Amino acid sequence: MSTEYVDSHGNDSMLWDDIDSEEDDIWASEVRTLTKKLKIKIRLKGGPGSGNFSHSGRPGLVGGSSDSSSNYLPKDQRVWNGKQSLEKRTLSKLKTGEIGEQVAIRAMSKYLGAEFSSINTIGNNAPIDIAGNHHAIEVKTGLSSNGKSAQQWRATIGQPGKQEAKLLKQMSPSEKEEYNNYKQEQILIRKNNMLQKMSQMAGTTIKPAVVGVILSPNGKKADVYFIPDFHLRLGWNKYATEEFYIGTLNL
Amino acid sequence: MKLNILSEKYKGGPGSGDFGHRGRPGQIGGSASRTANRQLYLSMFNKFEHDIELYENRFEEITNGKSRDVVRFIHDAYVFEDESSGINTNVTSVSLTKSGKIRISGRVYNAQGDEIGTMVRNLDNNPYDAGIPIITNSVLTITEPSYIGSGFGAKFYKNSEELAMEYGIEAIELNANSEVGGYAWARMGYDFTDRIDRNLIKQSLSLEYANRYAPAGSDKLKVAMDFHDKLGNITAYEIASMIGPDGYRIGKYILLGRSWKGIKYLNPDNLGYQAGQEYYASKGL
Repeated sequence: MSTEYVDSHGNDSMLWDDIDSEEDDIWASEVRTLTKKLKIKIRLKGGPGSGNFSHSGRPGLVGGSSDSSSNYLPKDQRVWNGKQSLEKRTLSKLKTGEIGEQVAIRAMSKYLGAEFSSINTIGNNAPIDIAGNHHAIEVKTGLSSNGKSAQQWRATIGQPGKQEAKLLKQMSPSEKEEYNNYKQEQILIRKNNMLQKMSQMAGTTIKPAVVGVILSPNGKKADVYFIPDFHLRLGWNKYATEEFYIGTLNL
Repeated sequence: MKLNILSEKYKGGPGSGDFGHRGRPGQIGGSASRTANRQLYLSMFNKFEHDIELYENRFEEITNGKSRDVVRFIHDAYVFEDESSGINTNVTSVSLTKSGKIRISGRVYNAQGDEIGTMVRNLDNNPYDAGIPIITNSVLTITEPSYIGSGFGAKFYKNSEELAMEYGIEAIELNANSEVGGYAWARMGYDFTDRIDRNLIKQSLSLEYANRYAPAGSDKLKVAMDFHDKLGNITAYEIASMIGPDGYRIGKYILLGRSWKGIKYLNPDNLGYQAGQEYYASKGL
């Protein structure tokens, strides 16, 4: 049921009957997709000040437009030392994700020598979080105070909708496991589809990667790890290691 | 210019077809017959208050030499009929203002021929935007509730935008007004002309975002300021499409009830233009 509105204060004064319609939501969704595509295109091309317009640069050596705030702390100040921090967590899940994305942008700008930006509009959970310099990156963030079972970066399925929750309740444990596996596979498919579209738009291959961030519980410091390709789960025991470690940032 | 030359000029060409609505002679089909087109264009000529060459010269200047055919443009863009609802517009006069604007005035009628609204459009160069050819949508009023949902508006705007592009007009300007216009015009692909409007709406949006989504116990003002920084030069149509983490149409409800001056660039590469096309597509156009 749509609501009728009148825009009646001079100039073009029209009747709008579709302000609260389903069409209106469809329009908004289409425009968010359009905006995202355009931003990816701009970012993949590079822009003024990116210092890197079409080549991939030499990580750690040449190019880059990052400022001194991206400088890493000495290694002995790393957040993650392989053990759960006992410090009390002060960050919400939402804030943790936001900080993680900002950390990843800073770190990638320095590491890959070009400007990176978020391609998530608020609340819209895009399959890829940040993009730049021929890379599409998913950012995963955790706190060093995470318990043993949460010491991992993993693709989250997200909260089921009402109907889905109802269905899940009717499933046996094995059916539920199978269903969740299917949904996880779908996550990877979405990411790879997005990657393909980005490559088409850029006219070149876009490389996928995960940036893993481990934040101190107060959000003041962050370790950054760069792991090529997309992954559903990355245990910190195997991946929060020297091999993938980029550096630690003071926030 | 003599009337017989004018009538030859606007006879319509191959593909102009006929039947029912007026269409675009020589370009897009369906329309009144060639004879009828001739009559329509002749009737348009009588709506000009002065020598038609004055208007043609001015139109040529405005469009930077791209078009001279001001009669045909005005006719095809603003003498419009929506076949399904029967709502139609007619041009009642065309005048040249002291500042050099070509002003088109018209009326809107229902299928029975009763007047239900008015229309005023101005053609000019925009001195604040590199002198680009621009149309200012000054007035289009249809406020009779019985015409809600007729679909006339979207068809009328789409048609006049297409014609404007064809004749070398690069942008359309209007005032997006309070109540729903502040949102509805953004949805049609208009963006802020004035950075003050953009900033005021960004501030409201940031505060609303912090009020709704700042984590408990956090500094809401800081959250708002950080969010404001992230918005950068966000456009009106991006705000209109924005949702919060819980799916709430935060941008839409900020724009509803706001007034701002808007511009839409008639360039298919422009994101605003594409956003407007999405709106038309959502209406099945």
